[in-house]
Amino acid sequence: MTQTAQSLTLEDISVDYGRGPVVANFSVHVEPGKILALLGQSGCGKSTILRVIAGLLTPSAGSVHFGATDMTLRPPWERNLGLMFQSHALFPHLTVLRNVEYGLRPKKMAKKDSERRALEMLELVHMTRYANVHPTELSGGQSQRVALARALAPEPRVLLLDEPFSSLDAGLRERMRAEVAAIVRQVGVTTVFVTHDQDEALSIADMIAVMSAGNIVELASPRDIYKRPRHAYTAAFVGGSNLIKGELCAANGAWRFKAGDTELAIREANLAAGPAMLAIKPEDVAVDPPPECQHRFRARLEEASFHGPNQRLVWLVESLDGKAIVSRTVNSQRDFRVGDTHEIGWKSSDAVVVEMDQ
Amino acid sequence: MRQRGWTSWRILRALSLFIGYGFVLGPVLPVVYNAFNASPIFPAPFEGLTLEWFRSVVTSEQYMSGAIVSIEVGIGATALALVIGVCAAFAVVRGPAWIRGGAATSLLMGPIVIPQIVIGLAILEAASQLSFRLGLAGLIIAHAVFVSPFIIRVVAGALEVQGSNLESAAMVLGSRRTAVLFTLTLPMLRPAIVASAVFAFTLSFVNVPLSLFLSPSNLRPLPIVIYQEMINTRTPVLAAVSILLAFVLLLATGLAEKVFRVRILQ
Repeated sequence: MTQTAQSLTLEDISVDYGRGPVVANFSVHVEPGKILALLGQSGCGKSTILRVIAGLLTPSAGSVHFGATDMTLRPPWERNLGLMFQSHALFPHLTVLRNVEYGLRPKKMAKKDSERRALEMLELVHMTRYANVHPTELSGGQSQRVALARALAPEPRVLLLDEPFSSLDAGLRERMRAEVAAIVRQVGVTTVFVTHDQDEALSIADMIAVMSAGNIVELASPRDIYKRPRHAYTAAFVGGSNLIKGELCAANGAWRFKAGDTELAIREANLAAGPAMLAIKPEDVAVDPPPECQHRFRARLEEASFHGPNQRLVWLVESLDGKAIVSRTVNSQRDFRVGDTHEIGWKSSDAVVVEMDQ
Repeated sequence: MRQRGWTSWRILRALSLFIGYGFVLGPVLPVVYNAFNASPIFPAPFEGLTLEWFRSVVTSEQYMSGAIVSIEVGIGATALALVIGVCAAFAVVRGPAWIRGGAATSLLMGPIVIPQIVIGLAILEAASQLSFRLGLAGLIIAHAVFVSPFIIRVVAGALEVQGSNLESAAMVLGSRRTAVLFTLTLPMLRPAIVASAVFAFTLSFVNVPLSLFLSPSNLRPLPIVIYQEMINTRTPVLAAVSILLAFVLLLATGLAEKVFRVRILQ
């Protein structure tokens, strides 16, 4: 079922409802067959971008290209897209089969062919048994599958997923996520999906665009977004990094990070010297650290909470002006008591210098 | 076993049931027993069972032709009001911002809040000044104006609940705006449209004030025939025709539910 996937290019998209821009000068390019995740909190403009791509919203400026074709002013029905809403938006008055067939209707296929194609799609999502059932009788996961089949049936040039998993409960969500990702990869369609769930973005996407206030803060691969963020916003939003304010200095070809009275050796930095932040993931913070942890501090335990397999500990570090550092460790036999003083630390390679928020 | 502390709630609930049903259905009871009452005077104390009055209704040319006029007016008015009402519902829910929302809907409720007797008189006067003869058409139009707000209310409510996500999905799936309207929006509104149509037909069927002014002497709807009979001769036939009327309307509603597979009464 391979098809010729197309690239998607948004250039300088601005959307303004009249109360200031919701999205300003948004540009992104998705290679054919790749999956882009728009990750951000609600209100960051990510769904607006999706509506612009779908043609449900006309941007006040900018352009949308599918491959080399300018689609900016084409109505939604001429765009050949697949769209899956959070609510799944199945048509309640039609059976599952007719729902999947709906997108083939404008193609003027023979009834026999469109029905065969719809059944093929239902097979792809393991829903053949439900072909003649009405959507109201389906469970959340089942209607999700049907929505995907319906979106993919007309062989869309671009597939759009709007928070597709957030209406499902936790266990099912994880399963559907894996299943949908596998199917989308199998079909090989260029995909944009919108989510506020970092796990979702990290596990499915080829590229993640972290969004805030109507624009992209950072665009990178999931691994880089998580491990090597460039912005404090990304570091905090994805993985909940600890952020230490300070200054990046270069001395004798080596990078150093100054925070208060403390000076830390840094492996590498992509920034110019000057004010910056140091980001460390909670799981990289070790308590009573082994010798390879070059950054070490005395800290007092302020708060401890139990999270099943993990425990979350909040430490106050005096030499960093009383800064709170969060660590997450696997629950072991060891119990930490609030008020105790320990040494905490991390490897210098796990500390990332990031740009401060504007 | 019973939990403590619910007594006052139970009393209140029983009371509300009693008051609710009692006041709604109570006044209908004398009509019911008078329809089967052997006494030739209406209303009168019970004297014995008879079906004589029902026979008189069915054999009465006056009542039967009245029923036919009422059915014609009801169907015509409902059809016209459906066109007007569905269009207005779309305007109120999907129109440009200045025409949309609660204020616009309230404005369109106008025909309900202005006394019908005044509307009837006004239409009659306007028609006579324009030397325009009101026939069946005039009656149908007046009824349509009166019942369309009920259709607007129900259909606009359903359209609002339906939202536009499904339509967006359909457009993205390649259907043009008009195709979406006919393959999705309207089919989904069908239950609301059918239910409001049945309601509208019923309201037209039993309407007196508009018909009183606007029905020509040779085209008298059933309620007007009843009204005139009431002034001239008070016989239990009136009760019998009322019971028949209620029964037929209930039957028609049930039939509509079956045929269109929608819920109206529940």
